[in-house]
Amino acid sequence: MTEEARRRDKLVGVSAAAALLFNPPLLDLFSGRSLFGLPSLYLYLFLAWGGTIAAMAVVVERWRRATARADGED
Amino acid sequence: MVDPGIVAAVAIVYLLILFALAYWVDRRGQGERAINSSIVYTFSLAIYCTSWTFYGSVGLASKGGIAFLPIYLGPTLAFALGWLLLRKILRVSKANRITSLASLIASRFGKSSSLGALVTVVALVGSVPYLALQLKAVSTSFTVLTEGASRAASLASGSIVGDAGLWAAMLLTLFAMLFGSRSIQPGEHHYGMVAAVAFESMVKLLCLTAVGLFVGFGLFHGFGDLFRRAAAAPGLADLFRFQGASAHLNWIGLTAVSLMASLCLPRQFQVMVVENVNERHLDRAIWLFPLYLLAINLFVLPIALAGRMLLPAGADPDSMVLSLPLASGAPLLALLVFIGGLSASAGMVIVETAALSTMVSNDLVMPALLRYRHRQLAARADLIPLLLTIRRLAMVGVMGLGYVYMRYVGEAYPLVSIGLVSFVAVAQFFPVILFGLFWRRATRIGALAGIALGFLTWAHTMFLPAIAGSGLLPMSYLTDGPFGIAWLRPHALFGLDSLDPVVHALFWTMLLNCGAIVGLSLFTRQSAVERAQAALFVDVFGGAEAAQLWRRTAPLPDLRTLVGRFLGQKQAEAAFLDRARRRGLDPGGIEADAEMVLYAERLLAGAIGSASARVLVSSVVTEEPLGVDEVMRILDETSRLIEVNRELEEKSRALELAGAELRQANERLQELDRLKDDFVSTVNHELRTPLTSIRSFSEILRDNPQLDAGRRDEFYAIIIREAERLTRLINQMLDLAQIQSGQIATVIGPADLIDVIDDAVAATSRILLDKGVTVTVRAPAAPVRPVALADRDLLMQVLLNLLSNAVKFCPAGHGQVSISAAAPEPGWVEFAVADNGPGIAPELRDVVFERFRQIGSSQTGKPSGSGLGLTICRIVVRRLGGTIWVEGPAQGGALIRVRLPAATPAEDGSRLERAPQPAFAAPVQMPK
Repeated sequence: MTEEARRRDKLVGVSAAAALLFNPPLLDLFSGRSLFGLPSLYLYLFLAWGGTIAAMAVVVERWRRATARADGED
Repeated sequence: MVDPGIVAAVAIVYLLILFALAYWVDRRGQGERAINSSIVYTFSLAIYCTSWTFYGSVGLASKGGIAFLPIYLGPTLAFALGWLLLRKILRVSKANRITSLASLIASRFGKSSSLGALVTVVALVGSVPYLALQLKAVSTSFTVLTEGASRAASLASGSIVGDAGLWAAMLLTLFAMLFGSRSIQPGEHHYGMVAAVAFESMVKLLCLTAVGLFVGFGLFHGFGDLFRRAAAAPGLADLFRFQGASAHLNWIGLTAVSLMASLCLPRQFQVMVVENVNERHLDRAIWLFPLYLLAINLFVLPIALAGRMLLPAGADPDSMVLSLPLASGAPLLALLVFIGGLSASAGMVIVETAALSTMVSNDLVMPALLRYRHRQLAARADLIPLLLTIRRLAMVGVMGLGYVYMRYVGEAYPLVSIGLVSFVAVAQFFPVILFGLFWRRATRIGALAGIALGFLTWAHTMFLPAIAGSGLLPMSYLTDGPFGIAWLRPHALFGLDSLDPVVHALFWTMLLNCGAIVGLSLFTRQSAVERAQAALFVDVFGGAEAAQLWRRTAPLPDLRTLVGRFLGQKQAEAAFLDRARRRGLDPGGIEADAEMVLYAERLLAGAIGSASARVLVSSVVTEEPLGVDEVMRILDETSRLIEVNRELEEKSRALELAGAELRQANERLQELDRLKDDFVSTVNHELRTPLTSIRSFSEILRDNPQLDAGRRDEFYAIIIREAERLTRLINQMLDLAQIQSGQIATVIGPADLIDVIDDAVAATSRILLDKGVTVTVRAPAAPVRPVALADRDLLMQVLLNLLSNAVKFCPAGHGQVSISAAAPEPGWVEFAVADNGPGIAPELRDVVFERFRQIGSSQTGKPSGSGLGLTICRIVVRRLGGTIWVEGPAQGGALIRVRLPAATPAEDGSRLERAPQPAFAAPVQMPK
């Protein structure tokens, strides 16, 4: 149960971070600029988005492996 | 341009492939296995991306840049929180066989049919624009593909028969009918439909990616080139900017509304919850689904930029994805795009109509039929065809509404605007679900009011304005407010005109919705059913079954027949047999107990919704809701039990205490008994010794008359001494008995201590002489003369006892006993008797006064004396109101001190005057 709570807390943390990253005022930082020839807003949003997904994937997949061992399935 | 015949043929072939796939999965009989994978689950979730994404996002991006993204960031946040919310929805729905959003909400609030109906109506009305959006996209894309972008604008003027949207609507309805309502099963799994939807999600992703790559590498020299040229192009720089309070609010508002909608859209609920076959699929979908969203949006902005640069200025933004390949001479790619768009539309339309038809039949029509046409319904043995008919009619109806909306309203708006109208509508369910799952006290009244208020506000601020914009309502509704009431203007409610219409609507609907739920829940009460359901939902991970507040029984055959009418008799029988066997009951039993009734209700709920199931089951069940009286009685009994329990506990504690006391008393008694035994044997010995000597010397004297006179006198002396000893012993025992029983009358008066001491010494002079003990008496200097307030005779007895005791322990020949008297403090007098014997060990100093306690002399190791002397002393001293204790060193003599109350001067003054004797300080020398 505590493991489950830890995973829940991690995911809540990731989503809180994502909510911050995806929204103003952080977005303002990248408005109207250019980075590596790409619009920085576009680049930033997709990087933040991808990073969030990766973080979620790490948390979830670790958990899945742990519980799959425990359950003997999947 | 592509020939319409070819386009139609390709579309039909594609749809036939979908039919075949769905049919094949369903026919295999192992449909569950075919879709039992988190990948398939994720692709089925991707039904979230419809034509809105496929065509509309590009359209929006071409005008607003990055502004299309919040719609996909919202669901990402929603899924990141999935562990909290989604998993709970999933678990609750599975436990209660929830088959639609309406059922979920109705079930949470006491299986309320009114709430189910309200949710159904809201979902139905709210989804119509969304369906219209899909049909419009199909229709537009077909026109663009066959006739060119210029013709697309004049779509409404075209004949209905020639409209691809109509044909698409008809075909897709047919598909939904075939695979979305093929049969009635508890659980409502449609494996074929899910497989087809997942396949479509794959197709649309591939097609959009293909267009993206074509644009990047076919029309430009890579994406760097594309962006560089876009940055240089006039008018495009604004697309890379994101600034200003209004943009911020829009961004946040759109993220919020899409977060809520992604959980509450009927089709989303259908694939996410109802069609879910394994809870663990959700775990992986938590990140796979956002990944899909990211992938499908990756090329949206590049495509939009390319469209702005390459297409003529007036081109329809929503069909850019299609017009770009067409304009660039790639008709095959355009055809592929059309298929992708068709996939996006088809998936959404099929699942949405299936989900809505389930809601309409289970939460709207069935409850109504059960209420108003119960008799006709009862006459039918098999209700499956009726149920299926209702659902199929509902599908046709829903699709018809969508088409009508598209023809007459949707025409004027871009795809995203149409879709957002639906998003805000379904978002109205989010507060109810959130509060329902996490707040136990949310009540049915609150939920009803929240959804109703939210819905009405939505209709006023979004739905009616959209209709007004298309000319079906006077435009004055929008500009002047209804009936000319300015502060009710739909886009500036109460004068709030600073917000974008969507954010404006979201703000007001959510404010009223949440306010009503929370406010009314705080001020209304839940019924018993509501409370039970609330506990079941909120604590779903607690594993607790709902408290059975009803005593429900039913004839088992009736119950079986009832379930059979909706599920088929064979299936029902098998289900009941299985259940009975699992619970170890007699399958041939006549009476179904409460648990069985609940099982039947859940079986039915899976097919026709929880509200209808409850109504139906209660028609055959003798349901005795535990009335207030009965509940009170149970409570009363419980509290009485608690009371009795507490009393018992107290009693047992008291008993334990009493037991401990008894045990202590018993130990003391045993100790006393042992002491008594010892004493008796001692006394026995003490009595017997003198008796034996008396007897034996008497016999000698009798048997030997010729004994010489000297010997004879000696023997007589022994006999006399032994007899005296015997007398003394018996006297002591009698004294003790007398004192203890309180038979001695005491005469309290002033008693001069020195007098008494002198008398005592004189009385014992004989023994002292015998043992060769020297006695010293010390008195305080004149004029102090210690006078006790006591009974003189008793005082005398104490002194005699102490003296004889001291003498007994003195070493023979050179014993020394000293007696002293004093008045240490006002009100008290003291005297002490000390000897030079072995003394009393400190640990024994209290013990010596105890009855029958004897201390062995250090020389013999045997007790000497009766063991009563000191006991008698203590009893007497206490009776005289004084104390007695042992002092002095452990070795080299014992000192026993007695303290007694002093006689007041008035009392003893006369005596003092009368007997002014000098202090008796001279030691009394006893000859040895």
